Amino acid sequence: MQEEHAGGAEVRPFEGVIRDGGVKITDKERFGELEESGYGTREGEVLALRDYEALYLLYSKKLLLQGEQGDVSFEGLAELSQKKERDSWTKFVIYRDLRSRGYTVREGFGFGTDLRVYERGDYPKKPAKYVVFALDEGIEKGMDDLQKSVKEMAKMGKEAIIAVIERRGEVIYYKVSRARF
Amino acid sequence: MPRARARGRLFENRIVVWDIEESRRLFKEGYYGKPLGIPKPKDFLFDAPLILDLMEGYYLTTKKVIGVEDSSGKEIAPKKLHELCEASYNDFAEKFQVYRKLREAGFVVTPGIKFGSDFAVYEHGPGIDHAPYIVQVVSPESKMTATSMVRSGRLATTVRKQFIIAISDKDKKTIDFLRYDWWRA
Repeated sequence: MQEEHAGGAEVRPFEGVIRDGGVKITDKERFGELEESGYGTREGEVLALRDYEALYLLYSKKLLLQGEQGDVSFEGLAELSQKKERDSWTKFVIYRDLRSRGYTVREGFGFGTDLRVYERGDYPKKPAKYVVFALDEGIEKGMDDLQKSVKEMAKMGKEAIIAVIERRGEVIYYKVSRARF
Repeated sequence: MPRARARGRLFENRIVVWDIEESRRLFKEGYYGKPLGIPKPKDFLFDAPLILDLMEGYYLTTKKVIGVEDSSGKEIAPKKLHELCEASYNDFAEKFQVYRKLREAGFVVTPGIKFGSDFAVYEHGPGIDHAPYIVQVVSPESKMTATSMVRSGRLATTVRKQFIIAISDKDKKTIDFLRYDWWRA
């Protein structure tokens, strides 16, 4: 599998801090590089990253993160994030998998554990083509929920993808669409 | 659709059409039933009684294409037949609703048990087109798991058929069809 890293090969790591319970990028002159690749959201003077975005940058060695007690490692942030959100690891697993395949991935719409996925090369010119929903091995979901999600996605003109995550973290994807007879 | 009403006899949970001409006609006009002992009829000139399953037998009864009799030769009213179907086939109402919908849409619908599913659905008929769809009927209250999702997806890829989940709500009388495709990320 090809690993694609933010901002191309051999870039100087971005600098971030943990503030107000989340990761913020502080070096203003580099916001553009991250935003272009679909990372973060501007919040005044900082660029706020979702935990899974920061985890991915740490994982790809593109981020130097400072906490109150010094450097925060990938492991450190993973643990911190898990305390805040029950599904933070699941989200990271899918995020990492899709990013490494060259997709741009943004926060979803809040239908369970979901992420918006842009077709390769589409970001930011075109809207996200897919919405990926997590289905963890060992978890049951109602058929009616799946039905609703697929309907909602169709209304928004997006394709629904179910990311089945096997119990060690490997991801298999299925596209679910409405059929008419 | 055949014109005159054919006669079927209920044997346990199957309906037998003894008359050969009627058997051939039903089979020819929509691949209803299976000629006894002939798994893959080459043409419509077989010389065997036709075995209808309850799903199609009941459907043909509602369409007044066949009349079903009990062992004493007395005709079974459609309402009574429906009760018998429900008693001998689990989730009959949910599945029958899907069967009828697909038949009304012009598809040839046959048992899908060979594919581990409820229906195999053909546009023209078995042997003419490769079953393009395998349909699994579920209720809206049923659960989806990672394993069931992968199993469905696997099934479709191994048999090279399109896998469809029919979410059948027998109370609201609605059916939603969902199609699963492996997404090669």
